[in-house]
Amino acid sequence: MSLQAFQSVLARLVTEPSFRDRVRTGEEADLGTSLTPREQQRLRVAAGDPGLRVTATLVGSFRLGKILQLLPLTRQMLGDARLVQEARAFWRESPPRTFYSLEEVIQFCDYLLGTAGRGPFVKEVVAFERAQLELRRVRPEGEAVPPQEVFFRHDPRDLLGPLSEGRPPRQARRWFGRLRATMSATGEVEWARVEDPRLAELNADDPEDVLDEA
Amino acid sequence: MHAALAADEAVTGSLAVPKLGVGLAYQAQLQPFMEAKGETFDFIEVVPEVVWNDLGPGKAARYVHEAGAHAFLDAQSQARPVVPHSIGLSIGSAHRFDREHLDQMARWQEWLRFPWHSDHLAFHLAQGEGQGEVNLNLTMPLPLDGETLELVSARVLEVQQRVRAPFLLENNVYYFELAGQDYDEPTFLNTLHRQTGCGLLLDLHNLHVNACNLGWNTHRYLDRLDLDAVVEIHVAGGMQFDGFYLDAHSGSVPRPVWSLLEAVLPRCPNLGGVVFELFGTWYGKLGEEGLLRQLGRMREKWARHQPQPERVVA
Repeated sequence: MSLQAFQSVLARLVTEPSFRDRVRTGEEADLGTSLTPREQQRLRVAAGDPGLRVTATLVGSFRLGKILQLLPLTRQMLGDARLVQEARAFWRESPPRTFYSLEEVIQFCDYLLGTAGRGPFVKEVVAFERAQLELRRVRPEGEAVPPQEVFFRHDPRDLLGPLSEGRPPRQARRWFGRLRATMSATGEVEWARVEDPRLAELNADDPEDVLDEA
Repeated sequence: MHAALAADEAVTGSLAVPKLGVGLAYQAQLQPFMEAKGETFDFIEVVPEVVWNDLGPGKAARYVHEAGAHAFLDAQSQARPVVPHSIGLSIGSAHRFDREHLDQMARWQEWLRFPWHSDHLAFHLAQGEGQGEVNLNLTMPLPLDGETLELVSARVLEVQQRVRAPFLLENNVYYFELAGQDYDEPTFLNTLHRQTGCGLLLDLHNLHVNACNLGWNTHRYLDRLDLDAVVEIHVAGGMQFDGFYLDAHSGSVPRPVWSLLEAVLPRCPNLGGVVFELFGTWYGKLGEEGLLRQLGRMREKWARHQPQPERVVA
C-alpha cells in the first residue's frame, strides 16, 4: 500500500507542475498518511531535482508529439504557441492515460470543442480532424466504423484549402451545411455533402456571400 | 516457426539461449532497410506495443494487431528470430499486475517461438489521485528496497510460469535518483537474478546516460554486476537537452558506449545478442550508411569476443 501511494505521488509530481512546485517549496505539507517518512523524504527531494523536471518535459513532449502529428490543420489554425498553451490546459485536467495516440488526441479535440471562444473557424477545423481520427480509431475485429458528420458554418473549401497549403484562413464565406465522412474499403476517408433542406433554406436567405474574418 | 526454438526446449527460469548475434530494433520506418539489408543483422527485436493496439484491461479481444506490422514480422520470422522487448508490463506497479498482458505474450510465444523476451525494471502505470490510472509512458525509477524486490520477484516468477521462455529485465535510465535505497542497482539485479533466475538485458546506453547525468562510475557498476545473468545488450545514441544527456535513441552509438561494449562482451558467457536501438523518426538523419556502420561495428566486436552466431532457421 505504501509503495502504491509513493508511485501515485511520484506520478503526480511528473504530471502536475503546480503540485511539484508546492511540494518543492514545502507549501504542500501533507503528502499522505500511508507514506513512510523515508518515502516522504524521497518525494520532497525529487520535487526539487532538475532531473524530475526533465522527466516531466519528456512526458509532455511525448504527449505533444501525438497532437502535432495527428492534428496538422488544427496546428496551422492555432499556431504552435497557442496549441501548446491549449495542450497544457488540457493536461491540467487530463493526466496521461494511454500509450496510444488516437485516443488521447480525440480527447484533446473534445476538450477544444467543449471550450467556447476560440475564434470563428477553430471548432470547424477541429471537428473535421476529429472526425477523421474517429474513423481511424482502432476497434475490435468486425465492429462497424460509424460514419461521422461535421457541421460547418463556413464554406469548408475556404477553411481547409488554405490550411492544406500551410497557412491559416483569413476569411471564409458563410455556409451552413453538413459533411459526412466514411471509411472506404481501401482505408481512405471519403467526404460527402449531406443534403438538408433546412440548411439549404438558411443559405438561400443570404443572397450575397457573407465573409467572416478570422 | 523456428524448430530450434520450440517452446518445449525453452527452459523457464534458466538462461539457456542460442547465440543469435547482432540484432536491430524494429521501427516501421526501418522496414525497407530490414527487407533490403537482411544480411547485416541476425535477428529483430520488437516492442510489441507498436504492433498491437491495446483496447484496455478487461476488453474482449483487447489486443488488436496493426495488420501491416504484423504481416511484416510474420514474414521476417520465417528468416530470422523475432524477439519481443515489451514496454507494457509495468512490472513494478504496486496497484495492479496486468496478467492479460502475460496472456498476450504467451500468445506471441506460440506465434514467434522467441528464444527470450524482456521488459523494464520500472513502472509507468500508477493509481491516479482519485481519477483512474495514470500512464506516464516513460520508465520511472523503482525504489530499490526490500519491498520492491519482493514485489518484482513474485511477478518475475509469474511471468516465467506463464510465458515459456527466459525472461529478462532491463536496467533503467533515470534523470533523478531516489535517496536512501536499500540496494544499489547492480546488487538489486544480482539478488533478483539469484532469487528468480531472471536474466538481465544490459542497456549500455542507459548506463552511460546515468553516468553522464548522475555521476555513476560505469566500470565499477559493471564490476559489481553478475555478468553471467546478461542475456542481451542494448546500444543506442542520445542527445543533449537542457543540461542533461538523454536516452533519445537518436543516432550513432557514442564512443564511451562502444568502449563499454568492448569491455563486457568477453565477460558475458550467456549472452544471446546485442541490439541497436534507433527511433524511426531519426533514421533519415542517421541514414542507411550510418545504420550499416553501427551494425558492422557491432558484428566486428561480436566476432572478436563471442562464438559464431547460430543460424536459427525455420
